[in-house]
Amino acid sequence: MKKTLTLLLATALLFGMTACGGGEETQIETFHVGTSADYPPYEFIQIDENNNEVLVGADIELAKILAEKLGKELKITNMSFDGLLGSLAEGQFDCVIAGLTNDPEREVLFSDNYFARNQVCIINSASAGTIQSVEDMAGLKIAGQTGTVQETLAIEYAGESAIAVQNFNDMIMMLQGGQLDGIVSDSDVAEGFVATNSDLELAPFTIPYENDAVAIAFQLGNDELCDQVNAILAELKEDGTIDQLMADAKALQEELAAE
Amino acid sequence: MAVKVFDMLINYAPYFWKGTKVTLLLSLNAVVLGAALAAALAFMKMSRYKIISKAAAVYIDVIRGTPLIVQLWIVYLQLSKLIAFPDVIIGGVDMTRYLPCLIALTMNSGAYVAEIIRGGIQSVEKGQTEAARSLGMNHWMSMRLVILPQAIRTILPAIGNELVTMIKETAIIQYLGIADIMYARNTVATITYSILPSYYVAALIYLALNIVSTRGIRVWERKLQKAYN
Repeated sequence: MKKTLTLLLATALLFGMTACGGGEETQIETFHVGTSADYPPYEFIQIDENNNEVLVGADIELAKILAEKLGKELKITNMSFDGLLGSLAEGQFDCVIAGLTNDPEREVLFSDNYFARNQVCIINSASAGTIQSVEDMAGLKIAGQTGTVQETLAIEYAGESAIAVQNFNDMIMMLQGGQLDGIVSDSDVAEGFVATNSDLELAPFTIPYENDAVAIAFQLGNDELCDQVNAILAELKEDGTIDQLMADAKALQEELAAE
Repeated sequence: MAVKVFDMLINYAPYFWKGTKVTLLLSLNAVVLGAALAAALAFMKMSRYKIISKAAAVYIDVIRGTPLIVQLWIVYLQLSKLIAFPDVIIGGVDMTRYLPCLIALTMNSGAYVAEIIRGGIQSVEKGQTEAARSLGMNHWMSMRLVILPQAIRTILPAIGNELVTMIKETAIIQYLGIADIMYARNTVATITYSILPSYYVAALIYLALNIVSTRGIRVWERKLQKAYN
């Protein structure tokens, strides 16, 4: 019994010690990116043969290219989406690359847009035909992920019956279980879920939204890094790399789902 | 459903095991460090000096009066501004998030256990102190030689129960992206697109952990009682 206690205290102390030391030696500057990897094809997790998780997706590949071109070492922090912008504001990362909609209401510095997309509504196949237009969403239980533009859109079109859910996967389950009538989603993400779930489909319309493009978020005032990244983004758009990244990510997503 | 749950548990067992280790390590560390903090708080609260006892009381009230998830975010965002946590990865765990998380859980556990310790000490009859003092022992001697050995019998099992609570409470740390059981569950759910089974798998793992630790504590409790009877 005493031995176990000693062992425990030892590990505890070890962690305490590491807290005090270190942090001095930084050779290469890091490019610290925050993301929320439950959003295929933008960012998601693959488990490799050694049971290590690997972050994959279009945004992750983009982050790698950006870090390389900036000459910095990439560090990615994966956390819950609704914690990302708060953490960015407090200086936890250099930027957030998370399929983030360029919404001017967000108090961050946005890069130029790098992906374009539509906002759509995922519905249960059982209710196909009943939701034909944006107006039909009014009064229904329409969900959006907490802290996202989709949540705002759900509220705008469904009214008081709109629901915010923290986790995208949970929303899908609620839709399948009949607890929801629809989910507002980016078209890229929605396509993946519809392709892999035969009981889900897309409602036959897109939801009008003026800022429908994806951008990288920086801390307000970090214009220097933002300008550098914008220059790189322009190059990548020019030579078609950006479109290729999204195509690759979608292919990988399909491949994984087929396994 | 049962087949799906079983399949997921088997297919992703090594990955879930990784998450389980993180949950266990974090809970054990938080409870052990929390117990040390709690002992200090308990003695502060019983102090003769009003300012010290008041400070401990305020701390305990604040921690017990706010949700753990709120404490977690405040500690992570605020503390990271004041302290540069070592940017290293130990055993696949990123210390810049593990340490603030451990600190938040320790602070939380400390407040709850402080009351357990104070209760344990005060449950020893006053006559015991009086007898010890009349034998010429000073305050600390009577505390160390007479009161604490008796109090510890009620305190230790209660700290064991705190471990069971902590294992469940740590389920929220996935919001910080620490790869615990719930984080593993989310990852597997994203990969397999089967969400409800993933919750059953997580439930089974937590249940197994807590059944084992509850049994362990009961055996330990019996041993402690025997040693004194």
